[in-house]
Amino acid sequence: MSTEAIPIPVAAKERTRLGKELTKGIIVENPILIIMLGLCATLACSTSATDAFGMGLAFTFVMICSNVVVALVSKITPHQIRIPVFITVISTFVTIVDYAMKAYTPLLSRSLGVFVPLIVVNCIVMGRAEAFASRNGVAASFMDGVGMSIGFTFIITLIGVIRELLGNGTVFGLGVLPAGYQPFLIFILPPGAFLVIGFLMAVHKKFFQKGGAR
Amino acid sequence: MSGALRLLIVLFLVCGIAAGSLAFVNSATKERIAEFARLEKIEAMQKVLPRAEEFIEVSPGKLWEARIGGEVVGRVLAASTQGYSGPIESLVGLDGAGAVSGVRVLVQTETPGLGAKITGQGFLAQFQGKKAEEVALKRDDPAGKIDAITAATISSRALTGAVRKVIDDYQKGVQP
Repeated sequence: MSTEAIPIPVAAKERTRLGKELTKGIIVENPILIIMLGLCATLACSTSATDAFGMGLAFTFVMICSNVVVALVSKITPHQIRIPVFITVISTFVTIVDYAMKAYTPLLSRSLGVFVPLIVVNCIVMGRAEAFASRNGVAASFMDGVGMSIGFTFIITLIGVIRELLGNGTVFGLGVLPAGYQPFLIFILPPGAFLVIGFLMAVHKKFFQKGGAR
Repeated sequence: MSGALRLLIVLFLVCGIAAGSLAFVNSATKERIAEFARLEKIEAMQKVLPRAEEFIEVSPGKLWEARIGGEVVGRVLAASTQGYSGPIESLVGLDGAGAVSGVRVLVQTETPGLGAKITGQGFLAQFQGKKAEEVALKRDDPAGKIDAITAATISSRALTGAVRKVIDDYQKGVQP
């Protein structure tokens, strides 16, 4: 009886732990608003909702794949060469996604330009490989990657929607504001990204962080 | 010693697998990417000279002859210049009479919402049917018939100047 009773709580515990790895990237450890890594791509690719969402998808592929592979190889990788190994893994996935976008979504690839190859040096991917995937199992690393990707894609798309709406009067290329609307150009210029990110961080701090109401 | 060897082997294996998978992805996408680049250029040429059936490259990357059934009906010229914040590359179509049949911007990095409007039909349609001497901004040249974009004079002037220059050079017989 007792031999059967033991596995159940362990499995349940494991499930909650995996669930936590998934959800933490969305709110508590949101890569853009809390960890604040990879802001370069966030600033540059959020001028329109479509670009931002495309960047989010490219990032998602690289983040999840590299987290899983890093978790797989970290056991056999000697400590001294872990960084070159991680970079090789990440840049391989980035190049794959870059070629695939050039071949199948050429217009999106054109408008994201150099920022797709630059996912290689996106600090979130490297940061999660080093700080999480190299020290955890494959399942947990996968969940971490999914959570981080959802957090990143959601926030960059939100920034893209806000900037495109205010700066161009459209959302995902569709005109949603009356024709007489005079766009705030500054929102699609680089300073606009800082303004939007700043406001989102303030909102996040107010509602989701302990003691944030100060 | 065995430690150093292990570093070598692991790194070698990881890089080998990475290189192998990239070679595979490259061979799987190479043709599609090249095909798209080719189609895009042809499509741009058809926009500046819609009547033509085929385009024969005369000077690589600079000049094409547009033909219908072997007869030359116009030419497409490549114009590039420095804009407000980077290079502007465009294609200019000339019909048989030497008037502009269309202009299309291929590459530009002008300010979104201001200079980037040089890619819009509102600006580019003005070039249609103009003779070389009319291709100039109204504010710069009394013979000019092109209205600059509000708050984007530099970008408008750069593109207009580049279009004018390739047509002039071509008509003077300067080899592109």
